[in-house]
Amino acid sequence: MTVSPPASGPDVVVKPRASRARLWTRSAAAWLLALTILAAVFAPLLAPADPGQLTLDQLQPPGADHLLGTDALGRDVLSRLLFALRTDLMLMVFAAGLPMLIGTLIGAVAAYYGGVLDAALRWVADIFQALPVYVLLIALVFVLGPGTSSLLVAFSVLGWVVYARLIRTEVRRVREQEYVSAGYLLGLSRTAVLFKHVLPNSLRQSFVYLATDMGMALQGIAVLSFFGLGVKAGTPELGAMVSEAQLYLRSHWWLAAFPGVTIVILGSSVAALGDRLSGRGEVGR
Amino acid sequence: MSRRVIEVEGLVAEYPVRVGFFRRRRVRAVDAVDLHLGRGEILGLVGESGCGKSTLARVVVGLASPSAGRVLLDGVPVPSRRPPEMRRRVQMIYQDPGSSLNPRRTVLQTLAEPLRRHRLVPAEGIEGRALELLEMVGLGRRQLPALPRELSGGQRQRVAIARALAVEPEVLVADEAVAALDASVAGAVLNLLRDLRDRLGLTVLFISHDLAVVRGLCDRVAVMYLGSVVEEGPVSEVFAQPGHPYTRVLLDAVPSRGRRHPGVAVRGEPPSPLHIPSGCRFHPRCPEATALCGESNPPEARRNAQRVMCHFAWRPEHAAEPHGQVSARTSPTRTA
Repeated sequence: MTVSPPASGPDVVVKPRASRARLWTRSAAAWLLALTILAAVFAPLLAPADPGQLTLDQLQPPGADHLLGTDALGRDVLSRLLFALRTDLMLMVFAAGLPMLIGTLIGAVAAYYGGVLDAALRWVADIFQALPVYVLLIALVFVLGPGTSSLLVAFSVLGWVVYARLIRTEVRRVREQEYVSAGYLLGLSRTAVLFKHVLPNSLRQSFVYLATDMGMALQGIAVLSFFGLGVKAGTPELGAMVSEAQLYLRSHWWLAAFPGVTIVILGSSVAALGDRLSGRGEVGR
Repeated sequence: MSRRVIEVEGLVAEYPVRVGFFRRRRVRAVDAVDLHLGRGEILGLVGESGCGKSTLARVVVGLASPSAGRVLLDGVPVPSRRPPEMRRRVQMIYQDPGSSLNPRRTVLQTLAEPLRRHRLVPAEGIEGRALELLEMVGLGRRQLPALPRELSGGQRQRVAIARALAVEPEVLVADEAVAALDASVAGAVLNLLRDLRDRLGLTVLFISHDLAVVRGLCDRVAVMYLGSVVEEGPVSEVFAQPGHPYTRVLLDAVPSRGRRHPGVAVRGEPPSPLHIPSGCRFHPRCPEATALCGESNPPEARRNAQRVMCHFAWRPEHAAEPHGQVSARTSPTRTA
């Protein structure tokens, strides 16, 4: 535990100065992510056209009528992109958040109470480590059938183990802190101590990983949709848009380029913020 | 000494350890300990690290359950899993001020939780009571919104004491409560403990390896060696006329001015509780051990309120005698 003295004494905690480039990246990432979320939230207001509206203006290049052009069915690419952000951000949050919720609960309970439960968790975690997760992900979605809910089920089934493993280590550390046994002596039940004292002090690593995981989930969703295993056909989704653009890659670059670049930007923004999260908070521990 | 708040009878506490890859053994950290605490008394528990002091403390407060023997609260045996109402009566103060408070909670939140849990004051009175508790331990309004990292070690320890007092306990178990503090801060916390005993009639089990502190604070003292109590009695008697060679060794190890003879040194390291010696468990290191000591368990020798577990209690000169003559209860009338 670092104790930072109130005034500047000889022991003042000196934060290592982040390089200028890194600072810039982080603030850019934060702005981009904020912008993306706003764009997704206000998509119905911002979109110049109905994303599902078919027109005869097919495969128009970017221009004054259609800022980012139109696709093979004459749909406005900008509008589809904005609505795709909604789909992807939503899926991203749940595809990473659900596994975190499940894994954290299982891992925390197992680590806190120990015994058979904990041994079983370790056993399962070891097995999962030996499995090719992405192959299984594709297989699982294939079996469950394409669609949002099977995506989330697949991500949860395969993703919870990492969170369980992370929280297990932390809970076992925090469990030994003296305020934990003090809480029990003061009259809280063991379960209340777990949720009031142990969990809140064990979650940091999990949140750091969550940020990384969201980036991976985003790409996983895009990849699955690219293969036609993601969202329902016709739903605006970044991966699906890239997939539909395959045929026109040489002649109509904008169809693949805009959603593709969006995936890259969104993914790296989330990753950069995760990086920032893991760098901060060492002080005050 | 008035009625006994806590009695410990034949207490055994064990925990499993791995020896080798598959084999597990149970280690006896506390082996058949009898102790009692009278109401309003401060009992010091001293001994080397690893002698089972902390394990004993954990059993007494109810954080660990005994393998054998029992703990009585006001004459009533406590179940191995105590209900909250019973846990409330015996509180603990810890050694490490860095981990005794939840780092995410302000002092007010820390103090409010037990008050709410036991509905000790109405909801609107919580902040007032928290302030009262803080003032009781020598802190004030300024500390209410502070987080633990904004407090000094001594202040944290005071908050931990205030938190324990919040549930209006009868007994405080202080496990090396001042070992991690600066001398001056430690002194202030000790004064606070004594003051609380005087004002609230608290009973304190004060665990320490520091004999000077125990001499200044405690009414009675119990000396532990390798899981069992080897000597117990009023501080004045034990310190003036220690009956057990181990106690003498401990006392000699305390640096003091004007000591005439050089202290007796103990040989070797304390043995691990995995290999408890036969007979008197101190005999391999005892400067006065005879063959008898390694063969049979030492009897209990009493003098006034003092209890000593030694074949040759109060008799450092025994080595001259043939050990065959030494019977169990020779000592009570003789002085060293």
